[in-house]
Amino acid sequence: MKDGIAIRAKELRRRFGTLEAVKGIDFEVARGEIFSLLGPNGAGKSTTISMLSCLLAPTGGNAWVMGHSILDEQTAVKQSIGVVPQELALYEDMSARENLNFWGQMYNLRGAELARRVDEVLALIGLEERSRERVETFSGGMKRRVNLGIALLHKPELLIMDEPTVGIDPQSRRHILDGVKALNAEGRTVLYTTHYMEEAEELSDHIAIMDRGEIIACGSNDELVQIVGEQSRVDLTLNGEAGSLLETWQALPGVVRATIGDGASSENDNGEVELSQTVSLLVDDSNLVLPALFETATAAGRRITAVDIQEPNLESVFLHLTGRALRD
Amino acid sequence: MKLLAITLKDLRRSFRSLFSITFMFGVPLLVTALFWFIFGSFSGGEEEGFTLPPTTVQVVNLDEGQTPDTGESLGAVVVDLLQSEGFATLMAVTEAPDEAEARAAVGRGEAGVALVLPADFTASLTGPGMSTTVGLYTDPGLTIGTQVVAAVVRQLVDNLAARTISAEVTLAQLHEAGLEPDAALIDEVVRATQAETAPVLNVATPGAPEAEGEEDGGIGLFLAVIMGGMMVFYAFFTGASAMQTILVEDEEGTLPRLFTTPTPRAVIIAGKALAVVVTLVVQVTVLLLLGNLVFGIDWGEGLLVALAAAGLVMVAATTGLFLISFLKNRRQAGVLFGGVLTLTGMLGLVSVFTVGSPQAATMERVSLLVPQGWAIRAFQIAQGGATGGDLALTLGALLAWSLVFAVIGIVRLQRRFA
Repeated sequence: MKDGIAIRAKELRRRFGTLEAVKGIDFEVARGEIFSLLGPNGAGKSTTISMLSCLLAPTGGNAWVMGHSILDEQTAVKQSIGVVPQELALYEDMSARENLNFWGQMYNLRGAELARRVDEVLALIGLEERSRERVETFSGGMKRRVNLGIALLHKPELLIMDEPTVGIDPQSRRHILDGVKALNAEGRTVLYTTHYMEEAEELSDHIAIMDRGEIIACGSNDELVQIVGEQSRVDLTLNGEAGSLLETWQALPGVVRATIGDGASSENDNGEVELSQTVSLLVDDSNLVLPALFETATAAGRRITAVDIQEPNLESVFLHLTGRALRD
Repeated sequence: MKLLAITLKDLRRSFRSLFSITFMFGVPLLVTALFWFIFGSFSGGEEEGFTLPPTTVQVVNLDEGQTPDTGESLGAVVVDLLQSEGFATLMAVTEAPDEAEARAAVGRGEAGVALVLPADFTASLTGPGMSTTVGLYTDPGLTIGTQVVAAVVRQLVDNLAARTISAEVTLAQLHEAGLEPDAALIDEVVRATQAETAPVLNVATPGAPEAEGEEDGGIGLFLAVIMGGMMVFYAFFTGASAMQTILVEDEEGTLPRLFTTPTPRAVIIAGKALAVVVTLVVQVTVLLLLGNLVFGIDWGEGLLVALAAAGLVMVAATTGLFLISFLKNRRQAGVLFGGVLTLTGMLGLVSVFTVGSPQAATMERVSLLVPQGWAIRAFQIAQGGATGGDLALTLGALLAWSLVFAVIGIVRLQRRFA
């Protein structure tokens, strides 16, 4: 394995019964970078991370983490990584200090070194003053910080973070994103999974877009966006279901792809239930296409109630490559 | 070190839980206390309370002697006393022709107690400086009624011997001092000297060498059986619920996270299993001590009790391991533990609560279909003063249960977490 590579996956695959969750993926993560696995739920991101952290054995292929094979050198792999799971994984009936002490021992820290690292991590996550309080008394954001602190105790070379911002408030999310950048600035490699395009765009040096167990695109943010060229993404919200209108729009000049998105229902002022549906379109030039979209909608008896035009981004890339919106 | 860190972490969490503490210590003590109050009325209270059905006692009266003054056979006196109306609610006494038949009846479960009065029974009690051995044979798996009756018979014979010997000594001393015997004074001296008299009764169990009996009150034995049963019943719940932390940690994500640390999976599971064993050791030890301190229960000879306790800890822990290896989550655990442990626990206790009934012997066999029954039997044998040989068979059975459960549990968990 060549120098400067933190992770190298080769034909890595995992099957659960008849379902192949990861279908022989290849990718490399350079030392010192933030590398994101971006994809919708069920894309295979967490399974990939589980294999890289030796939690799941691959059913095919191999990967090397900090130069160690996940098949043959699991202890060395585990010692070199810190894993931040998607869900909180700590003992809420123990204090923050007791948690860190325990997990530190699991990472082979002992005695004075353990005590020193626990104090350092408590300072890093800003919980020194509440270190002796049970975690169950903490806010969600504070628990997240303890969850992250555990993974930092043994100063791992590689930090693996599995969707760490799912289900948390914007303030805590910002705190975590800033924390990831700070850890990376210290020279730590970060493997980050998310289904939020904005996070991947903000954090990553390189991004691998996953869908249905495969990496469908990999590169820097700019490289990925170039895949769709100047195409824009237009999200239209209709009153009622799109129905045959989708086929009409798909056939319009300048429309590359049209997909049905979320549906919703709401009650109007008269107490009647109104249906609405979002349609995502990938178009060459939104200024040219939009009038035709409105005309055909009117002709079909539909009303467009909202329009959202996005410049080329990772969402557009995903839509372009899969025909589905990332949030699907 | 990591193994101990995992064990200590689990112990810390267990003993911080008020629910666990209540379940491990509070409930068994509370149940025993309830029986103590109920049994208080049985043993002399004015209110109607819990009563035991009569226990069948087979007496073999081989006594050939007669008292010098009245010409009575003291063996016949004992038989008459036991057959008197006062004991009718406690025991049904029948005479057997010989010792072999009486012991066989106990062995078959047809009688709870066999009492053998030897040919020199009267002679030894009336003649100066003589002694003899009275055989009192009981079922090795002592049940409440059997123990109570055994204690009554033992005390009756011991008192008779003590009074006779004391009277002899007292009369001799008074005579030497030139004093006329006074009945009231003689009684007083007899009472004062009773404690110093040597027991003439040996207690033996069928198929085992005779062992010297120890005096114990019926209520003490009764509470020992009840609390022993409760201790076994709840120890199995402790073993299962403590092992359940494997499932809990799996669901809460801490177990998978532990698996991502450079700690071998075998060490992680072993550390958790050790915590279960230590928890059970603490629970059983505390209950044994509290039983003795609070209720005055004599659990039996120290080594035998320790062996019985070790057997209980071993089988309760491995039963927990076995059960959780079949479960996927805590919801299943609630159903399985509530159903399986309650059912098997009640089966194990069935011999305790069916004493004196026509099905007693059958119920005892039924109780041995489950590990709880064997654990209860181990404590009953220890309380009955049986030898280590008796206990060895029961511990062997507990070991066999434990090995089977441990092997199945470990194999299944290895597959699951591979």
